[in-house]
Amino acid sequence: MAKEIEISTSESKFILEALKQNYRLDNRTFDQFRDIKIQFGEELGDVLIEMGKTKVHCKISSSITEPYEDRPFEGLFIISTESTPMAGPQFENGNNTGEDEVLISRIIEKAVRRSGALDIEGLCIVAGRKCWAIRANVHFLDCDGGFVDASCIAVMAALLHYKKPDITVHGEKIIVHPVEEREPVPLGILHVPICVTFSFFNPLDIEENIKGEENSEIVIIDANLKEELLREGVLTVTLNKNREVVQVSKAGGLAMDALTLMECCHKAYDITEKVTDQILEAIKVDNKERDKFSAILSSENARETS
Amino acid sequence: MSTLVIPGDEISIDSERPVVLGPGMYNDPVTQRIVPVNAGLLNISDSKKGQTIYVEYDSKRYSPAVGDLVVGIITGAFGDSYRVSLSSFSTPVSLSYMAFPNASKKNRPTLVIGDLVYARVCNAEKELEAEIECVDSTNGSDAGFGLLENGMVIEATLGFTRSLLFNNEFPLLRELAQHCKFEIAIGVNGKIWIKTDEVKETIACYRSISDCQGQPQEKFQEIIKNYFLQVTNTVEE
Amino acid sequence: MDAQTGYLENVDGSCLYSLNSTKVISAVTGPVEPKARQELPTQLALEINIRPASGVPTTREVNIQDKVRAIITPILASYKYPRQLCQITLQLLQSGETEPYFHALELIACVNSTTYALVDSGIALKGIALGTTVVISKDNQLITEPTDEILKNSKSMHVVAYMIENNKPSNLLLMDSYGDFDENDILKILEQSEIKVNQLNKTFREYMKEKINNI
Repeated sequence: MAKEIEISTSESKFILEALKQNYRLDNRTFDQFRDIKIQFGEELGDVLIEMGKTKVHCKISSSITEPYEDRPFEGLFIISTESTPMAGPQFENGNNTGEDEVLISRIIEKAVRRSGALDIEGLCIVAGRKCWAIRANVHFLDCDGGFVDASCIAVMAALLHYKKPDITVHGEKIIVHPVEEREPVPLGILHVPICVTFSFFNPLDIEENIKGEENSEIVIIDANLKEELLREGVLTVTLNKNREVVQVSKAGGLAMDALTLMECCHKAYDITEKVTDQILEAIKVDNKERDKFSAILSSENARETS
Repeated sequence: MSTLVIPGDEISIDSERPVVLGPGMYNDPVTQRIVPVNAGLLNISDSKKGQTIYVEYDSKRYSPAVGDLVVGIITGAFGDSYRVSLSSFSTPVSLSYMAFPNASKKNRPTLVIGDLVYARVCNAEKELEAEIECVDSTNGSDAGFGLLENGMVIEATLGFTRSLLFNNEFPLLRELAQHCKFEIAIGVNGKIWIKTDEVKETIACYRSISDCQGQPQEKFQEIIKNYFLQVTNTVEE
Repeated sequence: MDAQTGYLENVDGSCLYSLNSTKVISAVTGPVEPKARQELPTQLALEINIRPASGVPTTREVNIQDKVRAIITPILASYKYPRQLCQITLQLLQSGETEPYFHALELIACVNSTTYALVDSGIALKGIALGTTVVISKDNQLITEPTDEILKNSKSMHVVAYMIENNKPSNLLLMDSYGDFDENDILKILEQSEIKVNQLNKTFREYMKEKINNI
């Protein structure tokens, strides 16, 4: 980050004091995930996620390329996350080496790509010669905290929404059928990982490695920007609906014990379940809409243009 | 009378008589044309001394202008002055150690980094670093300036803070006062500082003020009532 | 055409703009403190960044960036903000034309969107900039605001942007033409685009009027 957002001592003191008394500035409870709004664009694989004031856009694109030499049976899957000053002036252009930026892209990478959410073997066309390259372009539009959680939802929703053009293989020759000609094919999604981020606060300023009775640390889910600026520790848990823990990421900050971790995972599961259902439902509704339109449009357009 | 203007519109001015240009108006140094540079409502007032023209428009980023009352955060100390931020990422302004009531070379103010101050802009030349002061140099009184202790800051658009500060008809503060006692400092740089006796009251004020932005005035009462009900209810539970 | 200003929370001015199938978000922050290398002693420095809907920015985006800069620079009252910076970021959500061959539709969407966002941000402007795309089809017809399909089947395409002062186009800011055309065509295109830009200006004014009346 180029420059930091300035926050006064009074504000930080107040936010902590409010947390101690069980209040959050934006009227949520500690365990409340913000409501998610999923919007699909005109094209396939074009998703805009709104989580409170946070906005993330994800667009999937595909091309045919050569696979890596050491992995001849696998296609390519790239997730690109780059922040621009659009999300807020604290982000610098073309500089994604800041700790926060790197952490965001690593966590998403691990949650989606390395967990095998996308069936990359299914992207293989001719072993060792030709394969699909799927690219997920994540655009951070507006930052009010929770970029990791929102981006993960955006990438998964976009992957589920996307359909790649159908192909026919004749020996070495590959024919790509335009979308108008043949129904495109959805990607193989093996599971839907969802990230839930927990933020830790220690209002008493006493460092405890073994949490005693007096422990007064506060855990909140889905922090907004101001809470993110003040938090002393952060934990991201990635789960899927099958109750599998995909990733636990905690880069420094306040120490935590095993019990808290278990508790966090349980809380995260409930959210995961809800969010997954919401994404699947949104995809279903959109598919229905699209079918309806394509039926009407295809006949009308054909008559008009010819 | 106010009409809508868009940047670059022609304004009819009596060029024989003196003209004072306020915010949103600009005299182009090259063409010498007097044009509005912001989209908003044009206000022209005519008196015996001359004409005053300004554009009333809403925006988020503050540029210092002399006489403005602002809430700033101390971000550093340089020589004999503090460095104060009026809005994040903008060029900081300076607050001299001498610009406090009863200040002398020996009697230094004791502000630290992160403190909030309420101050008045006393120098704002575009070519120079702007200066603010914690004493009204036009009459020497302390006028409520200085350190703002504790409390909470609400960020708002500049137009909204101006309505709060200057428009006596604006119902928000009156409505708030029905529900609790509070201290408030309104900076036209888009920062509102508020302090009450209890955290839950401050929370309710914070949510109310943030939410009333962009809402019609008739709705204020209801919004405020709801937020105060919420905080009192959660305590009883 | 559809524009929505104030779309983003954390920047000073923003606009979600769509025209046919092209969709772009513009964000403006300023005047802010520049980095030392950006600082200009007497005027406002301008930083423009355009990001494509998919992939990384290429020379094509840099090309659009330079043209947007050429159009936007004259409308800023830049001497009002010495040693300050204005950051403009444009994010394409949907290109609406065949990349990488064309950039006419994206360029115009970027320019118009930036104008809305600049006015939203409250940065001082000497006028506003609006533009349109005009193509000459194979049967010599002039078409404004073409779709990708029309663009592909055109004889020539022209991007025209005007500065608007006092409610009318006062200055030609950019004319960018590709394809087969002669002097006569150019004159016709200028005439046609002026009519279109006048319409765009009317829409712009109506939008601002409604927005200001709502406050």
